[in-house]
Amino acid sequence: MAIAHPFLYEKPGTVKQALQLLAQHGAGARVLAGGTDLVGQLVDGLVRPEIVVDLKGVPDLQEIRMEKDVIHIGALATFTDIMESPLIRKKLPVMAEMTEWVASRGVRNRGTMVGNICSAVPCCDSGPILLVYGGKVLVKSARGQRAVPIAQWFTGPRRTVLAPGELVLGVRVPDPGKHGGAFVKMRRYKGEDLAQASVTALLLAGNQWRIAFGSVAPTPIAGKRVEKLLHGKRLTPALVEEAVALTDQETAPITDIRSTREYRAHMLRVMMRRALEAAASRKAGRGPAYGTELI
Amino acid sequence: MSQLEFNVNGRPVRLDVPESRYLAEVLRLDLGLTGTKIGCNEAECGICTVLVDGAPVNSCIYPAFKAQGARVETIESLSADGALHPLQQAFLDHGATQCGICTPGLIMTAKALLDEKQSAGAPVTEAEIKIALKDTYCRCTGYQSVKNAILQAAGIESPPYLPEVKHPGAVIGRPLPNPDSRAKVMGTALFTDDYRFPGMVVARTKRAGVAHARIRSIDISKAEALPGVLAVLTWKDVPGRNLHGLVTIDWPVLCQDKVRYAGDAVAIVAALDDEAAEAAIDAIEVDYEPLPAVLDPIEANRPDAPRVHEHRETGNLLKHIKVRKGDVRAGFDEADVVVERTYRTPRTEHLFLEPECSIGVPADYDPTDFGGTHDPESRRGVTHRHDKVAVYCGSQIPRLDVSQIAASLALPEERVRVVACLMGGGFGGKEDIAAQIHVALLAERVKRPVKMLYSRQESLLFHPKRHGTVIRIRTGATREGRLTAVEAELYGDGGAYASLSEKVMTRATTHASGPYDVPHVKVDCYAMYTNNTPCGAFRGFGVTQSCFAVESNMDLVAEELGMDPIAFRRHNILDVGKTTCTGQVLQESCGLGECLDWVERDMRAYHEARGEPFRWSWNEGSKRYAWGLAVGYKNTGLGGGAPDKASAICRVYLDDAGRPRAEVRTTSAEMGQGLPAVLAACAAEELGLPYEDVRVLLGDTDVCPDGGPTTASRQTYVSGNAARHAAMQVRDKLAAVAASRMQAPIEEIAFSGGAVRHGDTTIPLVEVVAWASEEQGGEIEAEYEYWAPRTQPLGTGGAMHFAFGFGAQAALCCIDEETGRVDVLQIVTANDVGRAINPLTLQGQIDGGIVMCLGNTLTEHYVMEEGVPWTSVMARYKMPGIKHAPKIVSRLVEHETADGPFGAKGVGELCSIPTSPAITNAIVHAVGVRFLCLPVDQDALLRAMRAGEQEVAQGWGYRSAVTPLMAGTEEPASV
Ligand code: FES
Ligand code: FES
Repeated sequence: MAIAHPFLYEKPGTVKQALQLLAQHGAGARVLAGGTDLVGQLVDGLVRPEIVVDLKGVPDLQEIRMEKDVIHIGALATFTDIMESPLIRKKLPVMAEMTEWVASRGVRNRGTMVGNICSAVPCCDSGPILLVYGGKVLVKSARGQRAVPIAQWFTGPRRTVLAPGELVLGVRVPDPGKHGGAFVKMRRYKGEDLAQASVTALLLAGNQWRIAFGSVAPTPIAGKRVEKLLHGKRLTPALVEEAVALTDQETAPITDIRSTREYRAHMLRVMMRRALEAAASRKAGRGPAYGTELI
Repeated sequence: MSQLEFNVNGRPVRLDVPESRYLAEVLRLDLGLTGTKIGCNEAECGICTVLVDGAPVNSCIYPAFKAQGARVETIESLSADGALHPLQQAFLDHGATQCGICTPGLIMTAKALLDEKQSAGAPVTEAEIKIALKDTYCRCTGYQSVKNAILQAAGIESPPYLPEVKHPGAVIGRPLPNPDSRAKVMGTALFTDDYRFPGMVVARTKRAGVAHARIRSIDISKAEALPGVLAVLTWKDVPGRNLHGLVTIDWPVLCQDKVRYAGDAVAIVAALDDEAAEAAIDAIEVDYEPLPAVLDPIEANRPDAPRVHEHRETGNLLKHIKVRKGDVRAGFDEADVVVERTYRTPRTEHLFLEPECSIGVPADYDPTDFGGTHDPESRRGVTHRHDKVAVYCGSQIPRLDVSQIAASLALPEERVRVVACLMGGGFGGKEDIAAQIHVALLAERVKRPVKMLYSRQESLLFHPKRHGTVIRIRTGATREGRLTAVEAELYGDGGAYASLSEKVMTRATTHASGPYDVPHVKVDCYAMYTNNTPCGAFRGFGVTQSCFAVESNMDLVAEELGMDPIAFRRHNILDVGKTTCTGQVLQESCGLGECLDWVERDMRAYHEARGEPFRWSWNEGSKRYAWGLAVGYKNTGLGGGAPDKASAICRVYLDDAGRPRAEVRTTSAEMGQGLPAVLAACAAEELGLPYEDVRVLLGDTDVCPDGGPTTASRQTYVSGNAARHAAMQVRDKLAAVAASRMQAPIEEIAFSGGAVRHGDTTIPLVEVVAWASEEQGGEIEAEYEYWAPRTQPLGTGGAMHFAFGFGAQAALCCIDEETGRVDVLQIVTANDVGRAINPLTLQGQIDGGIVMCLGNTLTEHYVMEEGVPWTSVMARYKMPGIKHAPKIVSRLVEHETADGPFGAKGVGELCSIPTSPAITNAIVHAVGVRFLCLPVDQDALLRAMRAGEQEVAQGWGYRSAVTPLMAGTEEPASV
């Protein structure tokens, strides 16, 4: 099943050249970063660009670095880069944990976080992680540069605020300080992997919580009610159960051929419980190591 | 076109390729590195894994230009200097390569892990192996051998897992790698898609896409006019019989008046390249008049159901199969306990990792016409002119392919040659005709070699699956635990064409009272036509389905009786002198009791090692653990009165270095199960030759005698015997010569260790071979046609089968109370195989069969919606990966058969039969929920647990709830 239609392929050497190409071709241009999502869409014939701009020749875009109190993840950093980065493992361990769940090793080696949020498929696992860590997307065009908070990034399934001619240089995440967290994703069991729900929980200093759900709505969503409930409180078993009970109000899972609404709702509750407990114990320096399967 | 410059296997490469090419295509097509395999093209199977700058990537979706300037390593790099890499050696030693199609991907994935660990100076762990390999699939091995091989290559002591063999011979009973395994671990083994002929073009098939419709018209004019299109054929272009089929000839080569399932072929195209072929397929216009479809096997039997084949007198009923023994009414009267349930099993997919591929080569083909050469070494294949149409393909029944191709091309059979290539898995799914006839038609039309490679998606759509069944079964027993009666009614969804439905459902029927001595049995089975994807042979051949029903009922009865499930079975199992439900009195080789003993012992041993008494179930936190047990049996050979024979040729010759060697030839097929190892061992044992000195040539109908179909677990028995007897005849010829020259009585001549012996005199075999050749004026060769013991048709009460394999399995499962997740931690199994010819490949079959059946139990379902597969891509079909693979503890029971080679009988399917009920019985012990429907849906399991329900009848992916059976109402039409 080869790609049936031909396209041009360009590999610019600088951001400037890349932006020129994008400006020239407008909506007919597609950026190839890791290539996983885009290539899948090319194979399926979902996108038929006239030109594919491969960013691999642009230096520095693969970097993951600390800039004052912000962690910068370049557009070309692959999931493997993120997973193996000592900086990420130390500063953003839940992100590292998520990357271990990303599809296969072959895909991790090529797929990038930026590519993942640009394709904006509902099952994008990077979304909830950036949501809890308060990440921003750094976008550049011929006209200038802007940083879009991740909460405003997704506009629908496969849609983002990214405009033709714009290029994502990377994502920026403020240093969260000492924290604990957990990313829990439903395990693939039957049918296909896509659209498997996830719960991400983050516990920051001062008992501030950040909660996000993946694959339960067209875009990743924040668990505002649970966050509010837990705010400033010490986690007790009773509080966990209250939060678990709120899960139903935060999400509206559906029934389809892969699973039923009831099961998804139940699993979200189980995942919420396990995520909260793991986050709290990890913050306290205990609990299961990051990357351990929690369900 | 742009220039791609990179380093491949240590060599700089520069070439011009289209921008949209993928790395796998560049490697395979442009660089001829066919060691990298393609299984799905959707980043799902992982067998295309290569390393780019040391990191594993799925080369099937890796744009080639991303590798610009990079360092790429493929399987071919590992043994560049001829010596095997430690991973390759370990895969060989552990039997971790069976069909071999996944082997390059597994080895490269493992290499990245080992390299990484080595540079970090850390030892590799089992957990890391599981994580690294979790997305590189293997359908054959069951992963146990793979994991052990990788540990071994990492320098961690982990010998191959081998069950104990009773009395090994010089070669028989010894663990020996399959003769073709070396080429497989090196990536040099050639599968059909790896062959390339000068002048070869490509082909595609236009498929219906709808379940049932009348064809009003087919317009191919636009397609024919497209550039690069060489031929577009429809039914009008089939010169001979426009039908094929294995038993019932009912499957159109190209549909004429109507289509009966979504995968039906309507037209075929040959073109210069893939793009042109695909454009032509899109340009073919077919006008359909939709017809109502019948999608359920029980509804199909209603008089008003739409007809799949209009002219059949029995409507949609392909066959009504009956088993009658004793008087069930009397049997149930005697019973103190009667249990009745209705079970449901899903349609499942073989998912052999090599999609079907066929290459047609026209008669009188001359490679030099296309700038090729006659070089016979270039690629095995047609390198010389000959007047036959040749078809290269992966086929389980090459000789029958010849007949079917000849009939459709209206050619005498002598004008057709089939070369069965190595198969990347078959499991029953490569018995029916795929594109063999199509490529022969196209090749003859365009007078060039034509290759038809199915995509994974087309393979899913087209080929016959495992039958989905509905099985109602009633079991009666006395208070003392004696079975008195079994009554069953089965419906099998055979789909649009007969394929092997009749045979498969017969096997389901005749095994429907289990491996038990039941005095009164009545079984009725209805093999039905529907508009679903056809169903045919799949490892287990109907018995996997009925065993699930039988063994579930057995546990239910045991529970009602308050008896231990093992004790209850032991009361009733078949043994020598007992009678099967078809009236066959077993004469020999029936080791089921011993199998049960072993399994019980090994379950107990598990707990003894933990310093605790045996228990069926226990809890730890939110986890529930339990054992479940099931037994099964499976016929070896065709049976039912079908003549069952195989021929083999054995030849002794001196190789270039003047060493004596033997060759065995037959058309029997190797699909990874290890047949060449069995044939080589049988010949080596008889000739006293080292195993390595016997080569095996399979599948070429021009030079191999007919080994019959590779089905029904029959090849070890039947072709093994043919090879053994052919070797014995060769030995006798040599012995005669040796006797006269050594002036010794012929019966005192012995062959061993590559020499001929009489008393203290030893003469190297090479000399005897030279003498014999001199005397006979040529090579010493013998052909033997082996006829298996006669069997009797169903209904006669005679011996329906010449042998049965018996097995028992216990599954240790863990269920997460909160999520419904089921993990199978361990399987303990014992199998009566008659005699172990090669414990290495035998254990490979056992491991692989178990894991395949684990998928059948927990995850696999080929789902259809309104006659169109929802399971249209591999991503929607979940087969077990390394993370699902349980630990397997295996014992061999060797109750020899009188006629099998060295006492052996079949095992290939047996191991894939009791796993499902063993697992579902464990789930009952753990959480009290019985699944009447496969696959076990964690969603439904959890719902039932929370609602306190004890049975789950509606499973995942079924069209509707079970349609009530017609039992008690009118008797359906019978055939
Ligand atoms: S993952 Fe590449 S062929 Fe299957
Ligand atoms: S050996 Fe792995 S798929 Fe056949």
